[in-house]
Amino acid sequence: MTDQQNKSEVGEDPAISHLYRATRIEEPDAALDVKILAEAKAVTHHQRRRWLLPLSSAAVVLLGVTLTLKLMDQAPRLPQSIDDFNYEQPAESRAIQRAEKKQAQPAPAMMMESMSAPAKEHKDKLKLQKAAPRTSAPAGGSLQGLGQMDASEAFESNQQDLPAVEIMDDPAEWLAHIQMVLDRGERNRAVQELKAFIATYPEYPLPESLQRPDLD
Amino acid sequence: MTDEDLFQRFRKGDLAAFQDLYARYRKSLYLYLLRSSPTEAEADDLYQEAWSRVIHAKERFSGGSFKAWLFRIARNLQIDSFRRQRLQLVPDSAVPAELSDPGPTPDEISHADDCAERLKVGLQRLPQEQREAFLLKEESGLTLGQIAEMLDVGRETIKSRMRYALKRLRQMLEDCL
Repeated sequence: MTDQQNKSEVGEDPAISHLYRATRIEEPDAALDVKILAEAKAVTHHQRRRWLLPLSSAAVVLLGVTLTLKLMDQAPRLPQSIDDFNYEQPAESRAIQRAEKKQAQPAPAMMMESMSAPAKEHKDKLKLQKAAPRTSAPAGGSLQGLGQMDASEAFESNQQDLPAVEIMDDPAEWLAHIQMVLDRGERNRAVQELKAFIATYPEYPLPESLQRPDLD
Repeated sequence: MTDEDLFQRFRKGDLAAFQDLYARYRKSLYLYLLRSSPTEAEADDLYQEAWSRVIHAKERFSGGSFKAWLFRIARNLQIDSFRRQRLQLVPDSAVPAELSDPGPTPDEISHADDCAERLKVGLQRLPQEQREAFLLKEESGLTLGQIAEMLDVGRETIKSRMRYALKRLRQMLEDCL
């Protein structure tokens, strides 16, 4: 077996390979090169755009969500119901509404007839003061229960639960009357009138005899 | 940088990596197709189509040798082309070599101006499977084992085809060697 035959056995023949390489002169046409490279370029360009689109979309969505959340945080809270709206009203406004409501309600005839103009004016003023922060009532200093009770509430309570009290124009005379009722032993009646008095004349000082704790 | 590294970079959108890869196999792939196709026009078509497959089917590359993958694509395209032209490939084992391949005629040999031209003519006269084995060995640079794997045949089969191919070429080119 010759050397060439041995090489052929393993699939090699350097002489033929050398001769074959001499035939390798042809090349693909330049137009083919251009087409193929252009195709590759188009694919890579498209590939970049394919990544760019989801990326830009995600960025837009993220920006939108962020802006929405920020605007929601900054916007004033809107009332979600009528109750919410009423709850948000200032205290002064509510006090005025309540005063107007009270004025619209018909007062007992006897009260209206007997109440003098200064007394009525004072009563309205008291109602308007309801919404304002309370200070200790000067007239009810020692009458703990009465003194700490809202004047208008006491007045209204009297109107509802007790017989009508005649409001007198002269506070001194009214106090004397109350003292007389108390002396007669009509304690409940005296307390009722005293509450009405304090509600009507909250600034008027009470005599010591009517400042007893047992009148509470 | 290896072929596989360049191809991975191309898969990620690096056009320059593809250009490098193309430059490496531009000539060898073209010559493989040119020597194994009946016409230059068909070789051009197959060449363009092969690279187009590489470009668009790059996600299908599952690793291994890029070179083997590239030449496998080209070979498969060529087989499809043969089938379309109704050229049936007859295995060497089915037909005696003398009948299936009579070898270059005296006229063909005498009309060849030089040894290189005679080699081209001799390659055309080789049975398709022998020519394929020879061209893959020369152009792709793959080992016989890689070629056997690519063609899905045994290594001994490839060695046999190569042996026959070289023997015939040596006979045709006796005065050139």
